[in-house]
Amino acid sequence: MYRVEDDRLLVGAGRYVEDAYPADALSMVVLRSPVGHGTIEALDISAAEEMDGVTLILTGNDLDRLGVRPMASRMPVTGVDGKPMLEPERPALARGKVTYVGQPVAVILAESPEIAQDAAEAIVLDIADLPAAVDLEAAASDGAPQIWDDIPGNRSFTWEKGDRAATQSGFAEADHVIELTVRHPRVSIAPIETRGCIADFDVETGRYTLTTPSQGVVALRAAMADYLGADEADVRVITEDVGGSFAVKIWPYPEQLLALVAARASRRPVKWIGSRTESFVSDAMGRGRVDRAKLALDRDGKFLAFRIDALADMGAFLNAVAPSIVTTGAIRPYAHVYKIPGLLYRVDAIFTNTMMTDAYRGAGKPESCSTLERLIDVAAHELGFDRVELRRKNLIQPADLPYDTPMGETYDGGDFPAIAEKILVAADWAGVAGRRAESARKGLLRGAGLGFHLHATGGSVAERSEVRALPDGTVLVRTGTQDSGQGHRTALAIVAAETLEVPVEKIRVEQGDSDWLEKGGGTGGSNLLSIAGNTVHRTALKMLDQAKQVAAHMLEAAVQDVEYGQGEFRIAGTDRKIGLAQVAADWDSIPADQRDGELGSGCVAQLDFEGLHTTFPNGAYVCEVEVDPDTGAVQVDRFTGVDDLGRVINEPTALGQLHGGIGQSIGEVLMEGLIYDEQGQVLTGSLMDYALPRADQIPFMDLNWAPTDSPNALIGAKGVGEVSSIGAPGAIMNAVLDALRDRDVRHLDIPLTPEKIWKALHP
Amino acid sequence: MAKLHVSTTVNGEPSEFLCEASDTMLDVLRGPLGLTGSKEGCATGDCGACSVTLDGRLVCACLMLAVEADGAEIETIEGMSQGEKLHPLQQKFLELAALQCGICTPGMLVAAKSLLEQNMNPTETEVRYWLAGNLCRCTGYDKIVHAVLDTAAEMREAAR
Repeated sequence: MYRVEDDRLLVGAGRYVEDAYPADALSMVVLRSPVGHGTIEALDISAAEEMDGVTLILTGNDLDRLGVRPMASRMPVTGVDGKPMLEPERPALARGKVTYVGQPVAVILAESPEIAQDAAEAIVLDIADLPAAVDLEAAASDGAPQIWDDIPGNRSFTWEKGDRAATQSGFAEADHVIELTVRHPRVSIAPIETRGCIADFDVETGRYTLTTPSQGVVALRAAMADYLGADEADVRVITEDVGGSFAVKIWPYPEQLLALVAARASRRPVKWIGSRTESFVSDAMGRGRVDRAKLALDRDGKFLAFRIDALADMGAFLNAVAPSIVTTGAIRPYAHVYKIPGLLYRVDAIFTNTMMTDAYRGAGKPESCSTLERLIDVAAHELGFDRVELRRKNLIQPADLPYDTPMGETYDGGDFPAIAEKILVAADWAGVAGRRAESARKGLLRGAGLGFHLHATGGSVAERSEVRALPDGTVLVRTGTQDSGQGHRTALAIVAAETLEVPVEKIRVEQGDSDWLEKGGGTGGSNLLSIAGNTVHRTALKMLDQAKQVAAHMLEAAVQDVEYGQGEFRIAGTDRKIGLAQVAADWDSIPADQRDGELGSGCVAQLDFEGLHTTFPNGAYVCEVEVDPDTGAVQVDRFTGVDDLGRVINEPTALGQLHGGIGQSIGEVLMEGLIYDEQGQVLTGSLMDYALPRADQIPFMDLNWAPTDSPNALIGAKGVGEVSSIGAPGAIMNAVLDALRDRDVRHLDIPLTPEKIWKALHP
Repeated sequence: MAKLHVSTTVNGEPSEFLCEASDTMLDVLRGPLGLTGSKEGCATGDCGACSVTLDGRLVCACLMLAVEADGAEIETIEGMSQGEKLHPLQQKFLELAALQCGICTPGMLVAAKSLLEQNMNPTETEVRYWLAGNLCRCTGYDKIVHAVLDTAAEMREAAR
């Protein structure tokens, strides 16, 4: 069906935070650290404060006075040594020293953005440079500059998961061990809408209101209240249309916190809209991992053990949930569709003089999945196995299900051998050789890459849903999740309409105001359908159950004699009936003090999520590329997929999610990469320097379904949001490296830019 | 310095505004004119979210000074549908779900309309190159390109 979101968006009537111009609002501009590591010798705001139109300047010296607390991360991790992670105190504005380019040093409030910008330039900021630890591997090595005095080796923690004994014996017994270092450089998440917010403070009620793009208002409210030292009841967070997020807008940011504080101090609304360059230096970034990976095989090619010893680039502090991304995020599906008895993952979380990393679409899983898929291709090539057959002989079989992985997951469904069959046909794998010859005639090197994938969906289970039948015949559904383009309102309207047996047009889905629901974990981990879909379905049933009591009362019948269908309650076997809308209207007309307690709460119900929330969408992708050996340029020529998403609730939106993740993967593998120089300067601070994939760089995609049941999924849908961003990178990497295979190139680190490929072809 | 007076035509309606010499067309559209459909994604002409036409030519409103609108005709996303009736491109984007977050959509539609005004029968490659100035982070462009090609085919059919 058509997306219910689109009528407004197509005519330019979307309402994003940048579109609101509150009367009397002050503009906020952020003065940021221009260096990667240094001591603040002087910070003189006096000249800026004197400028006409400047109303307030805040620096790190003001934070204590204003009661602004440090922005501690929100997912603590205990190391393999049993000790808590080491976390530096992260002030909203730098105090004493700066530790990354882009770190907020001061905020300037003024009557216009131009005045505030001029004032920012009038602030005297004198920083004595310190040696910077920028590159991840360098920062983790002996003798690296120390960022934090009390954190030796720049290491926050070392964490490990898996079966160490089985892994060691697997490597001991192996006939072959293949080793490969796979680097997953940090990328800018770069939604087309930059971050921004409007903050307000009501002096009468003492209440803060933050309007900002997010992936869930309730979690953001909790974080802001925490950092403000305020009661959660005194903070309201509103999210309207969100211009893309992919995780970057989940987190609490210093700009939001400072705008709230400035609004309180100024008694006026405050608006901040980040520039594109600010986005490149101050948005939480994706990836940032170096995987030293090893695969043990016996002589027949059976996988015995797989381990990754990873370094994870945290940036200068620990962002909101970053510690969980490089740990549990990395291992939940880990060896995805393969049966490997010995699995181990170990990670050192390392501080660097850079902006923080955190989740990005897939959150640790794209790295683990593509590392293994790349390693399998190298193993096949070096050991003389067919890369398809090597994968097939190691697939988990349907008879193995439910399958307990050594990492603690239990796969509840899937048919991976069937996926293998289907992808080879869909992608015309047999035709690769012919197309390779065709490309060669044009002087181009064709490569084909295959990769399997599996996601363990997750995110927060703190969902609360509300379903309310209204007298006008519509049904209002509220959820703690938050759309940022996926089409949540469409998907949940379909779920609710099915449960309630009413036309989908009658359902209105609302999200985005923390005053509506006390709880709500927000969106993440591809959890809309597995968590909110589940909860909306159950809540709708509960509302019907309550409404049936009311209907029975109104029909003067016993509850057990009343049945529901197609929006109506009917006394079974009679033509006496009453519509859901009429029940809602009549219920509303009964004065509250006369409502019979047995009738419960009428036509509205709330429920919290219950049940198993993890599902395992899976599949395989084949990518074909052509490489021009004269320029090193790569063109993606074909992209084919087979996905098991369980039940597809709405095909256009599900396809759109897969398309988008594949597009982002093409960007990540071929062109993206946030580059810092040795001093920590960002060299990719604009869209001229940082390449995002454009319409001429992504082909049409041929995507196919291969659904299986998922007992864990109450409504049958396994989730989709991150599936292709987990699975596509491995297939794309393998395709490009396959094209270079006959040229003696074993592996290249992404991004596989023309320069890198040309150099590899012309050593 | 005194503000500058500009007389222009926006979406077919005569329009006048006062601006600073340094104001961009995008500043004026979104601010004084209240037409917030054109978006600022970068302010450097790299993302295309602010695409409008100036006398029929596709431009980034963020790179155009507001005073350049004097005596010219500006078309924005707000002028694309005729009342309730969507432009065929908007209708096809709706049918194919060729948008997700919607932030690039106004610029994408304005750019696509500009293409079809010049070339009623574009190839896939021509559509992709024409739209390469408009970044979309959500869709992988798949349905957008399909929507433009399908719309072109239907408009050709309708014009026969």
